[in-house]
Amino acid sequence: MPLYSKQIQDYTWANKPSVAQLGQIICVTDIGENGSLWRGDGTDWKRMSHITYYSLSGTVSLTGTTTETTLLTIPIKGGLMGLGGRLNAASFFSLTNNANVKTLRAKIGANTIASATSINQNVTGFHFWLLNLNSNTSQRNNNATSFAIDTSVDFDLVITGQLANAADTLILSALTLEAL
Amino acid sequence: MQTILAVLVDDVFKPTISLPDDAKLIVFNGTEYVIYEEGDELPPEPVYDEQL
Repeated sequence: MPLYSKQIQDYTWANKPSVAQLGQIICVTDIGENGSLWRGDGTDWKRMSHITYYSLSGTVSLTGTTTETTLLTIPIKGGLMGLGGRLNAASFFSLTNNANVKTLRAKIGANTIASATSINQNVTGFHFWLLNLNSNTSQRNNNATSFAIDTSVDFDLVITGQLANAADTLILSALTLEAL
Repeated sequence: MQTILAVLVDDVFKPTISLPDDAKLIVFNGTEYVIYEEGDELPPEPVYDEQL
């Protein structure tokens, strides 16, 4: 019996049924690499598996300023994470290899959920996660820092870069964001 | 190729409109975002000292 049948209806995130009937399975076509399956628990729609939520397709380069600069903004759907869900990001940067500091940050609103600096490297990884602590409004990151971000409503995950020397270059070469 | 202006909000440069998801390369040059799309000629890559 095929997993995908006419009994599993396609929806977008925006037009999925407001009532998540217990046991009902739907496919949300605009979440995940090629859609994702969600199952109703009587109240909310729950992801049935981990999904790759976002993959950067090109590259983003920063030079010419020492001001912190937005490199990427990823809109996150409210409720996507779920009560015990985790956003897991892996990214890769190319940098001017010198002693000048380059700073990478991940932000949600006024919260900096991850940051890292790099010197004397021509490449570096920037990996972080944010875990909902059985709540849509209480999180901890991979540095055990606590946050109170409301993930039940839409929000943006913003990646920024900052150079200590405007003549340097910082390039966001790859980024994948998973919802676990 | 198109450009998107940047605005300073809370000491952070941000694009005035959303950056495209399908760009091959986006370069922030200190004042604006330059968007290179399919078919655009890409700028030369920076050459680092260790490559010379």
